Amino acid sequence: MMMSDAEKKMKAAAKKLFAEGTADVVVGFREGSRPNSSRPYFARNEADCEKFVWDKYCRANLAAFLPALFEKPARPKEGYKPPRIAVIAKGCDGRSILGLVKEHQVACENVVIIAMPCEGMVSLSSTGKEETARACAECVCPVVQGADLVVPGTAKKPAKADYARVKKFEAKPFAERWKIFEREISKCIRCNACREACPNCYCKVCFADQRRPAWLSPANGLSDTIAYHMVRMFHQAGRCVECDACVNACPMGIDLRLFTQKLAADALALFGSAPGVSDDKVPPLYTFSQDDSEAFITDPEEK
Amino acid sequence: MSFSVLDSKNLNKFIAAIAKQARVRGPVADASGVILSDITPRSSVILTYANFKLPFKREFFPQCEVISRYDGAAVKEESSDNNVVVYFGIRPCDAQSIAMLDKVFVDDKYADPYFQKRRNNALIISLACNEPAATCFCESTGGGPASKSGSDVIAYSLKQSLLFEPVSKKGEDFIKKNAKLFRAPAQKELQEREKLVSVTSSKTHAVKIDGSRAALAKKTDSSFWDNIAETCLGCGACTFLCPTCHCFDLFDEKLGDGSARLRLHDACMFASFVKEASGHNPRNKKGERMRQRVMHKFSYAPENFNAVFCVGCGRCISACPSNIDIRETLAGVIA
Repeated sequence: MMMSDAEKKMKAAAKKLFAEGTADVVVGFREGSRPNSSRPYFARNEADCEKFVWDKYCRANLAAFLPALFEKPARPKEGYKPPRIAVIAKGCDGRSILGLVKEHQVACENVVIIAMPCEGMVSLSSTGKEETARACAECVCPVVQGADLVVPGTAKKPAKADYARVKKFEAKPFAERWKIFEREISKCIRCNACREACPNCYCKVCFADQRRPAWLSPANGLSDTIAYHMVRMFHQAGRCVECDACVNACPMGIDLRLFTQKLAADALALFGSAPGVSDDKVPPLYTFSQDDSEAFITDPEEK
Repeated sequence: MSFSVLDSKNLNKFIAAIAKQARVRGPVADASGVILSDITPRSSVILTYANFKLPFKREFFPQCEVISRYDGAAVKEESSDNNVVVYFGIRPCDAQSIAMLDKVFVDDKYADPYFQKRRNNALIISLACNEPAATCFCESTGGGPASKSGSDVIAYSLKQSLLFEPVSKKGEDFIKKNAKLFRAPAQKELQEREKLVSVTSSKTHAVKIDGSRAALAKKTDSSFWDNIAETCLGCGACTFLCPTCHCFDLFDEKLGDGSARLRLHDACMFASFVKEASGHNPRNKKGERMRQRVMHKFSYAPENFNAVFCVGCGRCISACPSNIDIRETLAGVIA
């Protein structure tokens, strides 16, 4: 495939960071080993940047790598300084990075966001045809705002968040919603790919892995698996950028989006929270107000 | 070598006859693709597919099983059912993986009663592959689209019929017992079988495995492994989907006044895999964990069981969220 203009400019920007000595690592994508795929790649010098690609297969959320890269070693060498990391960022990567900065997982002064003009990535339909990934078709922010560097180009037009699927789901009776939830969650093999691929899941020890006390069994019984997904999802309320990193990582094809989006829709409706888009707000999980909606407790059946 | 033929139109008749003797499991479609499921004569059995998403090992070595219970007074071993199961449509790579797991769970110094019981109760009819995926490399790991290792019977799906070939004594008895379901093959069908095997074989991909054990012994440079594991997220998709990964954990779960002892699949890619009670983790880095996984398959297994513990099914390649590719890792090791 011909190198796109955006890819050329992105490579040049990445190389320049190394040449100027302003980055230690640039996180982007390189060609994948599977047919029609790209995969995360860390460039550590100018020459490495040649491997970068920018195409319609760059689906992973690269912000997921940042908390570990910024983690201070247990026994830091004298004069330890956090690395300077640049990320070749789609709108979703960028939104996640802004969230991680807010949550003090990423040192703002040590991260360089290279905003790409994202046209949306593709996924395979049930018949094996390439189509715009659902997360991308519904993306409200294809280009991250407030980036350090902007690669010019034509990006996808932002979609309007109408949450049509969520509304359709909400309209179903409780028993039916539960059945759908159970049907999806029962596919889970508890490999934790959703958690590990999610930029927001950076807890040092996930509650699911804690054994003293054991909040839930490591066994993949339905009840424990439901508890795992429920707690993980609730931790995402008002933080999830709906990038579908969890969906893409899941080897079992669980429709996690329906549920993460329900939480995102609620966070937007109840708290006006759209993480990484309108960034002046305190995230809803960080604060409490007496006016907070309690309807989900008092009237769970009310739409 | 003797072949018996079942006309495709009689497949349901065949399943009905077998279902009278045993529980029958085979390939059917569901929303997520082709899965291994209980089948009846009314099931739409699928004969063209790359492979099941989940590995065959789970039938003998489930992700979670209760091995004993404690009721507050005494410990009781859990009794598992004793049903005979006929598996139909297992891909040869998956059948081969069971032959490998036999080396660990049955033939080694200590036999594993849970695995062994299910194994003894199983009859495996594999189905020669007709649709290898882009990630398949079974011929390089000592198998192939028509490999017989681990199978009791191997079947070949031809245009209008299924050709059955017994492999083990158990398989021979099975064919004999059900002789009236089959007819003798026509010359044309035997030629069709040969063509199927050679065409499918030409579609698999070659990966150099020879010399990996010796090369691994020299791969002590930790930066090599750190580099490969750089984009590893530390999930268990590769190990949970691997048909030969067999590490497990025991976990006592409190239930009322008593408890249940569970055996669970574990994954060496989890940071907690070898973490000690003291908090020390001998394999603290992703690269160290990656090295362990590759060493186990391509060095320790050949040393202990004289076999590479990889069947080339490619599941780890297609499931990895970061597309870490074992074929490339091996190429890097041998280079």
